Amino acid sequence: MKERPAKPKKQPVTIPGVKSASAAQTIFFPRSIKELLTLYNKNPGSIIFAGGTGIMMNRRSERERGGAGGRPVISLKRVQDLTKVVRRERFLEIGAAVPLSRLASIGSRIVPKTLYNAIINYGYYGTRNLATLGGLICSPWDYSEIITILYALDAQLEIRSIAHTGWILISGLKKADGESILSENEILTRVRIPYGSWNRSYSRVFGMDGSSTYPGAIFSGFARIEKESIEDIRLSFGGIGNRVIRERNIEMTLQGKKIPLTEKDLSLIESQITDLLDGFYKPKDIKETGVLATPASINPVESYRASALKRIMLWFLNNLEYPDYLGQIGGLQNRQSKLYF
Amino acid sequence: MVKTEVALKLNGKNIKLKAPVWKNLLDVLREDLGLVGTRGSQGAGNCGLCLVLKNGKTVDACSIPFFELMDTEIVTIEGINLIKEFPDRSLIISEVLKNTVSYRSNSIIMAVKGLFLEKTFPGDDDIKYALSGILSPVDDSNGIIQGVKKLVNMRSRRRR
Amino acid sequence: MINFVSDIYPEGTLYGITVRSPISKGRIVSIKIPKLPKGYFVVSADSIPGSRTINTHPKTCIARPWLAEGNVNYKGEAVLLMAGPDRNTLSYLSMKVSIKYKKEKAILNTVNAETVEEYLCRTAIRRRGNIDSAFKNAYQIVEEEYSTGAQRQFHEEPQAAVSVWNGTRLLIISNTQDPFGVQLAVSEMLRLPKKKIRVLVPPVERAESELLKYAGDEREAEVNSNVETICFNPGFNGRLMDSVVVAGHSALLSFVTGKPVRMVYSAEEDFMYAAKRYPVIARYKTALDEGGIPKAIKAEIVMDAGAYTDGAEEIFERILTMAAGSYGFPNAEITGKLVKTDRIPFGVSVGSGTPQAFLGIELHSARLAEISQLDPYIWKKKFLIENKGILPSGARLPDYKGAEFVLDSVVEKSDFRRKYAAYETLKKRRTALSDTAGPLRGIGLGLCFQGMNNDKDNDPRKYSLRMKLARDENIIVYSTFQNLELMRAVVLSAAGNKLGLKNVNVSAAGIDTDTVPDTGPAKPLIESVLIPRLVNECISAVQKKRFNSPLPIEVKKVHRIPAVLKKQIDTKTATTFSSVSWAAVVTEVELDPLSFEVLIRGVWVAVDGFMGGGTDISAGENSRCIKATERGVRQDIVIGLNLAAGRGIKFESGGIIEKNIIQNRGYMGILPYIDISFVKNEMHSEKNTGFVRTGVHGLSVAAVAPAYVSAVSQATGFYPNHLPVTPLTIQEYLESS
Repeated sequence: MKERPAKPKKQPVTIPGVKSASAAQTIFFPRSIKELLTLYNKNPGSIIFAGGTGIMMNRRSERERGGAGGRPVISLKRVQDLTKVVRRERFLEIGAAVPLSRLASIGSRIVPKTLYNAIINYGYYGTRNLATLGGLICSPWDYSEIITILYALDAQLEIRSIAHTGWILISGLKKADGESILSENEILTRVRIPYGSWNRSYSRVFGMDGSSTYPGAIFSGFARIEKESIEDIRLSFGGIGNRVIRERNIEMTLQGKKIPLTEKDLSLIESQITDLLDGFYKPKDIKETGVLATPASINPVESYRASALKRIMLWFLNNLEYPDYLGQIGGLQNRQSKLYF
Repeated sequence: MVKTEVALKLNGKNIKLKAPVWKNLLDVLREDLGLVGTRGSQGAGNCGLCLVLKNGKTVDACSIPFFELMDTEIVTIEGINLIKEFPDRSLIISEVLKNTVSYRSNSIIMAVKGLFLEKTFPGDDDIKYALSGILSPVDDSNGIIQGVKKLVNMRSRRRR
Repeated sequence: MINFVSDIYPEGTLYGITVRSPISKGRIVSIKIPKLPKGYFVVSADSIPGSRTINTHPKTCIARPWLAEGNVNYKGEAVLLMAGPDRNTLSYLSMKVSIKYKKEKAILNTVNAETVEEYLCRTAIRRRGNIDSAFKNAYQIVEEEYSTGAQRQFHEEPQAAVSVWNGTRLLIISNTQDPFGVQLAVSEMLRLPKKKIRVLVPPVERAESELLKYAGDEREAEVNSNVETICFNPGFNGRLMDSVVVAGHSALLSFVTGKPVRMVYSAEEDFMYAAKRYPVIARYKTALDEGGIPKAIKAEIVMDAGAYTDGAEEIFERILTMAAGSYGFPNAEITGKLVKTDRIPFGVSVGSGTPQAFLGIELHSARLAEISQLDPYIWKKKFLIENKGILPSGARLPDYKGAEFVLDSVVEKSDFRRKYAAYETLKKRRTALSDTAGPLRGIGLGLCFQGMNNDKDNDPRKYSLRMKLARDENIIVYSTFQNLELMRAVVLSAAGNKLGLKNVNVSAAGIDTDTVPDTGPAKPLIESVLIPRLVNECISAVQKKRFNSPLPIEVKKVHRIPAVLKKQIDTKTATTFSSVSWAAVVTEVELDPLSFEVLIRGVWVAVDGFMGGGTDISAGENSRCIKATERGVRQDIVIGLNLAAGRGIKFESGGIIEKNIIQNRGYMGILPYIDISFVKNEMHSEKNTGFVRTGVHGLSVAAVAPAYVSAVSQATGFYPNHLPVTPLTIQEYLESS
């Protein structure tokens, strides 16, 4: 979770340094967004603490070495404004510190069904009660079905600092190398998920184990089909090199096409997607594409993911005319397997 | 190491504790308080072994740093019977775990208790929702699910 | 509340950690230890007063040292031990220790080790018939190679031990399967008489008060008198040699520091350095005649023991015995090589070598069946061992008929023959996988047996059970048996039946070397045979005493080698296995053509090992025992599927990578529909094998893996020869073809 400081409530828990002043660590518990922003402004670079599921994993070694280096911590547990969920006519608005379990309890009538399924299959009971949507979005690992779906749905993020407020698309949150664009006093406060009138939706996690915290690879596809032609389509790919990939150009190519798609269309798309995914593997392409190849990118696991993603995407495109069929196949297997571990 | 003091309610008692800021609740419980019923295994948020109730919700003790405990109410397996609501620990052990104890059982007990605190009459989906990812491949998953269903029936009979 | 070892934090305890070698092979040149704060200790091999190697397996080729001195032989080998009151400071200090090594060339895989003489620990050869002429006259020769990789042992509590030395006695609390092995090894290491060492194994209800006593404290620790439950499942896997090492290390630290020492591996440490299943390569060459009838087999087994071979010899022997499976090849030559490599020492896992032995031969037999155009069931039935059950390796199976019974049962229940034929047709019709006219399905059949070693060497350790009917009519059992679930089921059913006690509270006293006799390491297979036998004897003895003596009544029964086996041993006609149990497994799978993930549609198992709790138990109560046993079979299936389809352990530059632990959590797929049936085999009898009941635990593992792989093979059309088979390997194959 990514958020920032607020004014200390009357008495912040301040820990005097045990050995030296630099070891002192301040922890703030702001009560409102305003307080939070003020605090963060005064203490840029603070650790924003929400659910803890990501940060505690990351901090483990640091703790074991005996301390967290003295960066101030801003805990979001008391900021009520960040835990609101509001349903509007055209979108669902979710506070950044809303735990996933809240979204699960709201149900699939309000949360888009595909997203809902991804949420109830994320981690397990204890994790879902802690992990927050904002935390998931801001974490350095874009490695879950939830994020992949949010990319496809063009979720918007409200970014605030003491000076300004603005909305960005989720795809704009991170640079090509995976680093966040937020500056040291900016914080994610709300997430907006547009209700699109999709009449085809499909999401599939697959790979070598059933744990959705570490899936093999993820495909999410949404489409609106009217009168046997593609009005709008979204395709996003997750689990590759830790990033979610979505390519607007490919979607544009498909828009307006009649279904079923012709062989020619499909092979064009296939070559486009091959280029796109391969871009993630070939280090020589880094400069051209601006995409960072991860160290693991040239191993067989990654190439398995890439070619399976391609197959699944083509299958999705091939079956756009059968909405019921899309609902049945795939995904199911993974979902069931979650019962064990 | 930077230590801090927090006040919290643990198993029904108000206490004050001092510990390193980033020490996780799991280690605090086991090493500082001797409450060893909460167990852990690998890293944070992976194995589902360390469930406790925080403000009535099932959470992973390994993902909660010490400072977050300020003003919270924590219930561990040792204090689970202080929550009077159905079902109590021995009932879960006999009906769900069939009187078999393994390294993971305490976690399963916490998950079941948390489920019943959240939903009065959990349905099949709720049960799966609560137990998925918590059972290990060697657990008798079907038996456990049946056991929870039995508890739901018992509760509804009592209500009637 | 019942404690596990890792739940015990004695007052004033020090934490113990291991400083490990970062290289695979080399000489230790120098060790530099930083200045330690007060209360922190470092221990090296030089601090060991007695034997510096672990002597639980005296006949081993290469014994394992407690701590490396001079040389290191694998990445992660323990070089130093450190202890101190604060874990964080301790791990900080351990990073400051600087050890210099001179690297030597290491051999890091089995195939390379085969060719180097000093890595070849043992060879063996078994012959039957005239192999050369059979091959000379062969119409067709089929040659194949299969390999099983290392596999993780599934235990949730990592290796752990707590030791307390109070100046006169040493208390070790350990989650070992072999408490007396720990006692023996530690007594030799510390030069202490055995009786000065006491080993406790959980459930350690009384651990707290025992610890206080050792600390000279007379306070009574709080003991939870309300023992709600006794069924305690410590997890059998991988608690042999590793637990001896951990217990020994903590004991040594406690001995040197004079304080309690708690040594608990982290999950990552356990994952990287605890023993994994022995990797095995099996090569087969079979001569067929014109009718496709197998005339002769040459099998070559290469087993990798890792850096040290303790315990490997026994498994090696077992694998060789079973190398040609359950089939009666008239001519056979079985050769075996036991090699070492510079990797972690591997270890015994569920099935004790059975899975490695049967995987290859079962897949090979499926291939032979395909070549002779028979369905695998018919092929197996046709070529099963006859000849009074003599295997190609020369061992005789006294109850060999079980094979037929389990095969018939499982094939009928799963409708194997019809499905096999249908999927075979689909397979032949298919030109490419993308040609998804029908679902990609396959079905496979596996057959295996598992034997109880015959007590040829007259093992002095005798299994025994003590039972007490307390004043409140509750039952307490004393033994080293660890399968308390079965114990409880059997006691409950026998008590209900013979003593008329319903809902009696059964509890098990902790395993304690002070109070229970030495019965060797806890082995699931033997326990599942002996528990019902001994419990029934004890209950009968209680029954006799009940009306003429006041409560509490205490009885003890010792297992004696059955008369028939004793006679065999005396007349030197004893077979390798005193009795075997059979399992046949059918697995049906469906392949997702998009992701190549495998969905298991069903697993059918038939075992002939279980005959209920014994003849004295009423049918109604028997169901409890059956449930307990079924649970064991289910676990075996999970382990078998994990072997076949889970992620294997990957070695990178000689070691296991820590972060892979996240992906290596055992089989993750759907636990499928599982049908278990127990088949009666008349050949198990007091008269024939000495036992009415044979062991089931760990049995089905060996048949599940080949059944799964043949099913995947039928669905995809490719023949995997290495386990595990993952979507990745399937794709690699399909892309290459």
